Amino acid sequence: MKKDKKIFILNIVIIVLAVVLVITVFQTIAEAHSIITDYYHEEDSFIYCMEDEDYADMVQYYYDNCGSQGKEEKNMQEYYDLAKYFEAAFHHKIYVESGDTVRAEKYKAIMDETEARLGEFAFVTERMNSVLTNP
Amino acid sequence: MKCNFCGQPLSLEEEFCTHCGQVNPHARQHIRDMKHYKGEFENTKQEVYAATGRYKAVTARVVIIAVLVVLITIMWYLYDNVYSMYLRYLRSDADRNAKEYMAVMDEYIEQEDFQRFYLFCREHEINCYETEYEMYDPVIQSADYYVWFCESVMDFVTSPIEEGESPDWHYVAYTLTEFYNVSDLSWYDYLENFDRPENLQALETMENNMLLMLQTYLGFTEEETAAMSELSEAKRTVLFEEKFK
Repeated sequence: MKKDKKIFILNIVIIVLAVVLVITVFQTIAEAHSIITDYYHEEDSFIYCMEDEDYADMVQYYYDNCGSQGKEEKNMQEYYDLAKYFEAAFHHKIYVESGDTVRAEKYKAIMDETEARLGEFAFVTERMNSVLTNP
Repeated sequence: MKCNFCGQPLSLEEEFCTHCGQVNPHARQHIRDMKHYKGEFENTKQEVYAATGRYKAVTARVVIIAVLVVLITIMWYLYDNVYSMYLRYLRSDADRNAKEYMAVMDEYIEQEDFQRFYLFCREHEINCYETEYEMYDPVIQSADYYVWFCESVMDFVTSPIEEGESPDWHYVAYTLTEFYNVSDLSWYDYLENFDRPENLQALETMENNMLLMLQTYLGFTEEETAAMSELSEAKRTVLFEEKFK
């Protein structure tokens, strides 16, 4: 009887430890996953930036999503082009005003290239230019 | 042994004499004893089996508990160290591919793409301390604040300003000051090739870009920005404060 009670207690301990193990496994996997995968900004974040004319954050989100290698997903291409346009326009203006035509041309080429791909969002570039012209 | 009646030889197992047919009392006693002993033996055997079974059940559970405790300890260790393990992996990867990565970094520097240069270094956990990358240290440190400066100027330009409030220039001033601190090459003179031409060019381009941004987007004059690097942190802060009073 005493022995059976002992086995019963051991069974309970095994169940508790098994549950703890499962929790720690999931915890560790989640931790590893959060470290390895970078934070990703969804389409909504870009739309909010567009609505609020918060183009600085849009550029930031672009780099957060694409990293240094510029891995761009096709469904987000237009938002990324907007971010790249704003960044190029931001730099273009400082070189135009300082008379550095070589660098200004380099950024103008990026602006033209991205603008040509914008499609229905082409109107946003005017708003961007207006924000940069009247800071 | 002999039969008590006819005196003929008998074995202990023979219950009756094979010659006269009389009862062999020793054999009966022997059989009773044997039955008793056998019963006791069986009982003991069953008890031993049961005890061994219970022992095995307890032992098996104790072993399972020990294994679970070891696994939980390992998982806790992994959970606690997964970030440092990942960093170690990235750093050893950066050490293994140093030549390839340095070529990419040089290309970014040449293209003056300091944003991607900084991101690349961060993604690959480029560590300059006692590694092949040490000559990049001034550019990596400066690019960090340069990128932050660009972000803060973009924020300055795009953030709406409420009526009666002055624009938030603090991050711009802070990142500029930190840039000047970390781009001071005298901090890096213990590193080999710290002042290679590519580094000097990169630092000059970053500083020039930052000053142009101040002129274009924050309304500083050329004279004000020309003296910016010579100003102390306090004087620079006062200059910003006066500008956006």
